[in-house]
Amino acid sequence: MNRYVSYHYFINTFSNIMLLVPYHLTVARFDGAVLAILLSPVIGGILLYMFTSGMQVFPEKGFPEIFSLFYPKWLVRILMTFKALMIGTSTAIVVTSYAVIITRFLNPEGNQYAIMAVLMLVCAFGATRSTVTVNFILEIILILNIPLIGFIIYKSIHTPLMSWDAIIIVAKHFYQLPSLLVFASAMFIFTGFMNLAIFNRVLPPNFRFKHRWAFPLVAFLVLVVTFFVPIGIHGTEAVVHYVFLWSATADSLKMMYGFIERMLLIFLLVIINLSLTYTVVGWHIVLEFFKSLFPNNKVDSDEAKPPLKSYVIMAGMLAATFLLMFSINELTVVFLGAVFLIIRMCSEVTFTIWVYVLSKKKVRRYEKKANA
Amino acid sequence: MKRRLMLSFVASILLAGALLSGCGFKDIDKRYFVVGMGIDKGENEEKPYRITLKLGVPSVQIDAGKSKTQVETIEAVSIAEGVRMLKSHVDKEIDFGHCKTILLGESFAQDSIVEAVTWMSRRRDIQNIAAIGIGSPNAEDVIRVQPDVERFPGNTLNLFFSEDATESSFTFIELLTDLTRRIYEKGLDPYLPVITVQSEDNTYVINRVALLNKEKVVTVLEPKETQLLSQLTAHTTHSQFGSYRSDPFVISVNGIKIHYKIKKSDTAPKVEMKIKQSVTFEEMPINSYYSNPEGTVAQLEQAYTEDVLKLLQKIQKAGVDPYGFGLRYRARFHLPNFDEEWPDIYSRMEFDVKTKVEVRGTGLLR
Repeated sequence: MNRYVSYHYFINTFSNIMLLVPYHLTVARFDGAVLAILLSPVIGGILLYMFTSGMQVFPEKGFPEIFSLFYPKWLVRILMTFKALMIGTSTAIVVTSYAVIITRFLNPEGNQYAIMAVLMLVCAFGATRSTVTVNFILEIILILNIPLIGFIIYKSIHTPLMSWDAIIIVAKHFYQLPSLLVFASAMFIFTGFMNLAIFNRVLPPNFRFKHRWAFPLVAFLVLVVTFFVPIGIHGTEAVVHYVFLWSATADSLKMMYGFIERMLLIFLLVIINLSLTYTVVGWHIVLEFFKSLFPNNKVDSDEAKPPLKSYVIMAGMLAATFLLMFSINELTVVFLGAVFLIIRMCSEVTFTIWVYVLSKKKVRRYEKKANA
Repeated sequence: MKRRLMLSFVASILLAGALLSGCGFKDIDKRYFVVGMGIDKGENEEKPYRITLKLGVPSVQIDAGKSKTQVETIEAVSIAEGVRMLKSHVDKEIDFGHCKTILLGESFAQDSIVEAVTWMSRRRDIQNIAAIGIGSPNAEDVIRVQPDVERFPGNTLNLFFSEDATESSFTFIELLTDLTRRIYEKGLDPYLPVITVQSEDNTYVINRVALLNKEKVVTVLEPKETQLLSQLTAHTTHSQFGSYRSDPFVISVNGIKIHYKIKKSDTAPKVEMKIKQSVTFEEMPINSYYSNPEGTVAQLEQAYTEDVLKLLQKIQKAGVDPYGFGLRYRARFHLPNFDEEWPDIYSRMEFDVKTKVEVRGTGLLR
């Protein structure tokens, strides 16, 4: 079952491209990005240990159940609404940026909103399934896409365009302190464990987390690749000229004996798969948080048919996302993404520590009972 | 109830799919694929760009010499506007998705290439792996050539720049990504291959390379120098090393390894370059290597060293840095004011080249 934990961790890691993490990092390549990249796995690793050992104390429980153990209903509702809005925003940003990428590269004359509507309906369908099903969807998509991700990374490192001098130049700027935004961008990659806030429900009762050290390590490698490979290919200056940095990077690679010469097409396939899955998982979490607001919510992770309220909430989500898409343009996506990354980091750190403290509290409570 | 809800959900997805068709899709026979593009300086002052597009005409027959193309030319105020105007000259939608060769005119490249290159990278349908070159005497003449043996429209020039057909040590392949990087990178300057037309048989010759400072051509190297520069950069870019001649020997270079270090100094910073190559003999008098191996190798090593030195000094004198010494300098040493300090450092730089030749064989003869 440990593999399911890793899927949730790494879907988040791979989605960093859609949330413009490489964009924020490369802008600050001479002002602290390198230090942020070096620090974030350490702090991310500590958070991962705290969060997972906290959640282990509450087997088969999600955030709504855990917080209801300790706090009054109204406070739990506020907290859950906040969490739901956080994840809702992140999926909305991902949806908007892949809408832009699709219209830009695949069908420039097409109507962006029509394309989005179809993709979002598919995501909505996926997200309304049961928690167990969503877990399986995630596993299948990741297993199908990881070979392609590996291929893209291999190709991008082995291209003759790669200039190690440029990478060394940037790597030497490791002593500058990062800004909050840059640090938050790097941290985003290591906060995938937060999905367990809901998906802890489907982990079995006697579950033990294993190989936790490997998670931040692999994520760190992914982060290094996402940051340094574009610098090696586009140089230290031109790298900031691109809005969709990794699309431009993938487009610089050639598959001489592939069916299609342009690497971009494979990259787009992967990125669309990953974003859709990220959206499905994200919306499912939002759905579960919102469902927990209802007075007599029955938690069933393996329900045969989703209840009516799932559809109602989902429709609301779709409408909200659409409204957001209509009202913002490309520039505001970048700005909103930056604000989101910072708030997300703060919220993630807070909730991790919170859960850790609650788990200690629970243990103490049991000890008291046992003593009494 | 739920079943009906489910069904309506699926139906709504299908309905939304129906919205998609017809929006942006144009059939392939309603499109013209650009297979070559040339950008020249216009004769008219007010319309500084002369744009030439070679459009592939689809044809049933695929045979040598059966490729058909249509060439359209226009003068315009800007490149984007020119391309838009050209749309009104043809009956089908112009698509750059297959445009893999873009040429800049010689006089155009002596002015400034930055705007044109920025336009290319900004367009989504021009590939970052498109090859850029300089058409001599101008891009239009080169684009207009219809090689007699061409099988697909515009394919001949594409094959020159792809690594799966001809691989010449005289041909530099400059992709759009690399060109963009070199235009903006501090300490690395662009180069572009120069394409000329052999008018007798309608084919191309690409055996010279033009070195550019950040925006315009500074110098064009002769074929022999081009090959030498290609050998010096070969370990990173391609697998074809070519040959080297030092009378009475001609050697074919099978492999080359280059290491260089930069030594910092206030008076004369020094580049210490070590070239190690494995060679076989292609031409020489019979028995000359077997009778005097050390002497032969020493002569080759010395001649190669001298030629490399001469080339590096020529490039240095031109004030350009296609090899990336500046980039290496930045990687090794701290240089906060690169733009101001580097030209001075580069002009004072001295080169120390050491060549080591390893003979693999002398062919079938002694």
